[in-house]
Amino acid sequence: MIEEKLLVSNLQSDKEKENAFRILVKEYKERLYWHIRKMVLNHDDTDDILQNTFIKIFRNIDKFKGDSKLYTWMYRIATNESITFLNKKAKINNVTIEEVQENAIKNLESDVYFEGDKIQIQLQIAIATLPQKQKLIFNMKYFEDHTYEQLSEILEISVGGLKSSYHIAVKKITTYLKSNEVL
Amino acid sequence: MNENKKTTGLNTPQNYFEDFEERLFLKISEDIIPKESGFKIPDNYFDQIESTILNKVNEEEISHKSKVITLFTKKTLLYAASIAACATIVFSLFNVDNTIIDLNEIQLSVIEEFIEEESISFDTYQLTSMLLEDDDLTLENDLFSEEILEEYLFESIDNTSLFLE
Repeated sequence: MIEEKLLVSNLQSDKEKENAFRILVKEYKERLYWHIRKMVLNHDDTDDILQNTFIKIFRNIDKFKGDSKLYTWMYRIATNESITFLNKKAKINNVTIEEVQENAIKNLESDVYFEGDKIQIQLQIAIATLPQKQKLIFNMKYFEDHTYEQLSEILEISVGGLKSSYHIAVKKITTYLKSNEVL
Repeated sequence: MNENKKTTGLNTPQNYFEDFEERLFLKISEDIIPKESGFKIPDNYFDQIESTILNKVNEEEISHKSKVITLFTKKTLLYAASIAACATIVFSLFNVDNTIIDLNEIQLSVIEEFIEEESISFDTYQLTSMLLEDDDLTLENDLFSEEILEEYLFESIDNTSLFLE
């Protein structure tokens, strides 16, 4: 992959911007897609949020000062876009954000883009019981294989705090799965 | 332990053994959680999304470049309003009217009208206290001639009640 500093400077130059952006989308589209999908569950919503995330990145790339890594900055935008989306959906339907997620899980069984079985549905229900931050930490650590150091940079939480949150999240999920006799 | 034991030079990260059990049990717990989330995506989604995003970005760029710049933006109007407000303050500060209105210049009829319309009213107690407090206030003695006063008294005072008193 093209060196990050060079990519950023190309993204910030009028002449190279479009080509550099093409490279950026190619490199990060899948990672950001799965990050968003784990939060909103539904493919169509994820598709909208992913597009908005990249448009926001394109619009604001000149403001990126390089204080953090580029992918960290992009993950933060994707996370914020997803949370904003869930909040908006909750407001429109006059329900809580937790209810929005409960409905999303209910819809999974009839979702053509979900091929999980009972245990995977139970896993999503278990994840939904976690507080927002723990949910984010669990998904990013368990499914996306981020290191604690990367997570610390993206979520701006200390490594110690992340480790304990992840530990608690795993405990809660395994307890839920065991008590619901799907294991 | 044998103190003379030769060391290998190999080392472990800080707190490695203290944290070992914790990490091990976490791994065991993780093993019972499914690794697959079950989520799927439409065929060729990632091939198509790239061009969708680039098209959207290009559309945005074009609409951004061809955007009409309004002459009176909110910011411009704000600046204009601020300048106008400053000018008004400066004008009123340096253009103070130095003429003092003299009570004598006001027509008596205007004051009468003002009192009649009850725009200003004093009761007896207020008038008395004002007269007592203000030493400079003197009653006009020659406002009415004696003839006019006599005429007024004859016409308006009830003689019977006066005699009775």
